[in-house]
Amino acid sequence: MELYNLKYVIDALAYSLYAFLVGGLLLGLHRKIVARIQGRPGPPILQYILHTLKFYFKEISFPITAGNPLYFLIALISITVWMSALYLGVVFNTSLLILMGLYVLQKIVEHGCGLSSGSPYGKLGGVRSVFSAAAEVPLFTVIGIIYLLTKSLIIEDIIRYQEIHGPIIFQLPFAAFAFFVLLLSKAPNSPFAIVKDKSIVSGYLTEHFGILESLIMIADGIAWFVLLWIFLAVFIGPLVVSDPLMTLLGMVVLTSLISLICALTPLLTPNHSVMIQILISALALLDLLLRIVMG
Amino acid sequence: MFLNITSVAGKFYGYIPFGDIVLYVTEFSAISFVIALFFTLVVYFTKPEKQLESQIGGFDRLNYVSLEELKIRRLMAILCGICTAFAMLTGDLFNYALFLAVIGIANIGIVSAVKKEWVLNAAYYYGIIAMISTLPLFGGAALILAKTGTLSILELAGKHQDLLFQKMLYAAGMVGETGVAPFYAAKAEMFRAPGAPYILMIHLSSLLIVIRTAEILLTI
Amino acid sequence: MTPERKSGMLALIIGILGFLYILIFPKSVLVVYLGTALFTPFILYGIGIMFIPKTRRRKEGLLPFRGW
Repeated sequence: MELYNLKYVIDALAYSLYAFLVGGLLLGLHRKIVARIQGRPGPPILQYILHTLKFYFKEISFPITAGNPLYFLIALISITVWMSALYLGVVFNTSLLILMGLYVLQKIVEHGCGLSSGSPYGKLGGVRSVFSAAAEVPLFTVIGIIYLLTKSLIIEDIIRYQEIHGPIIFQLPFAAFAFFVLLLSKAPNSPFAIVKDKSIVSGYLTEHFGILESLIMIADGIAWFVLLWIFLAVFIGPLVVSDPLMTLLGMVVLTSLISLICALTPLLTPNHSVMIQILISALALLDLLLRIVMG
Repeated sequence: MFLNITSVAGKFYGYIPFGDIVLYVTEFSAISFVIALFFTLVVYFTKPEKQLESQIGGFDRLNYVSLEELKIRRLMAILCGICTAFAMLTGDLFNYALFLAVIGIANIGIVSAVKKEWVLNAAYYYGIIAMISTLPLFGGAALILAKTGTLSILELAGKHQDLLFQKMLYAAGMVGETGVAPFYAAKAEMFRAPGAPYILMIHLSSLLIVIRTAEILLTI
Repeated sequence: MTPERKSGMLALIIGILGFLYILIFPKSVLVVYLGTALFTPFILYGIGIMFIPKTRRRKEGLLPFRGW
């Protein structure tokens, strides 16, 4: 018996470890930049990864209110979702639509985390996640706009299109902006981060502590890497994505930009956050209709 | 012929002739099918959580979901999950619209067993919107049939026809049926009902349906 | 055995069986990758649960730091 697949499994694990380390460091950098802008020294950049390791070895007990096995499975699903997104997007360069489907699953994870714990804070976080999903989902009209331009949603084709015609960000600035808002809403401390608002303790993560929180943090690290990569691949293209070092540089620049926005803006109330996102998605829809009608 | 499908949904793995219901499998639909079935399994195995409700001037109270309520809600959630899974695979616009309608009904069924006034109110409003939006949904499908003579996505994918108005009607029907952006206010209160796994199914089905509709509208 | 330990053991068994399956059977590379994505968290959780310290609560649902 020969294990042909062992090589692929090791490849896959190495990829996700790389993605987690880069994503974790970038999230650490994010905290550092936010702290420096606000005049604090801030935690070391390694802090995110250290936290993940620390929580991994902490005692847990299932709360009496929790609905098992959803309560602990949801943390595992969170990692599965983002590892699949990493492989399908970064490794296999498949359809953008599948990646959007996986992004949507992130909303399910937040909702499931909040509701399955039975805690009122978790429930509020989960309900807010549903609220913001209602506003973020229409942002997918961006996909339609990209499809009209490139005639394909396969990431490989989009990158090839940009090799010939130059970065899409110059041709579709509004779509890039709408996608950037999607990215921003996933960042910690962003104006749209209503699910992790400190007024509801830790939002959907309130009752997920110890190893479960550690697993969700691993997923978040990978998620940050994947989302930044998708933005770079779809809107800036082979100029950045073809070289790993350039990709890293692009990610650092994007993270710094997002940290700047996060540090300087207040957290919006749920209503305002949803309204602004709906406004942006309505404009994106208008853009899409205009492009269809104008041919 | 399948160029449109492969450029939107990834590799084309083949179709399953199932009477006049043609199911086709692409990278996208296979993955979403597995996801929907997986969540249906998780929902089947999960016990509902006991929500903690704080009381004024007393100890916090736990909200239990009784066994009878649990049974009907679990059945509805599983129906909803199976419908979602097959809506991911179907290659026929009319069948897809039917699956959507069933999902809408199942969604109301999931929360209608909860004996709380605000939940029932929300379910009622959502039900009205879901009923109204079946008109543009089926109307859009009917107009597409009238114009092109077929409802099969595989057939429609090859031709390039001007179906803008019909697509908009179809999309409007989907938006009402799943309760996204303008209509979600009717649905949001439903998510506060106890019984996490079943409520999760409502959310999962509507989000997967949104993505799948985007795929269909880009393909045809 | 506490419910946490039990869920960890179950996750570990599922993870090991899953990894054995994807190591031997699939021909498609995509399936191997997605299988890895599916079963790695089970292994992570199973191993992690083995390392956490013994719980200090006295009764189910009663956390040691909660007053009552």
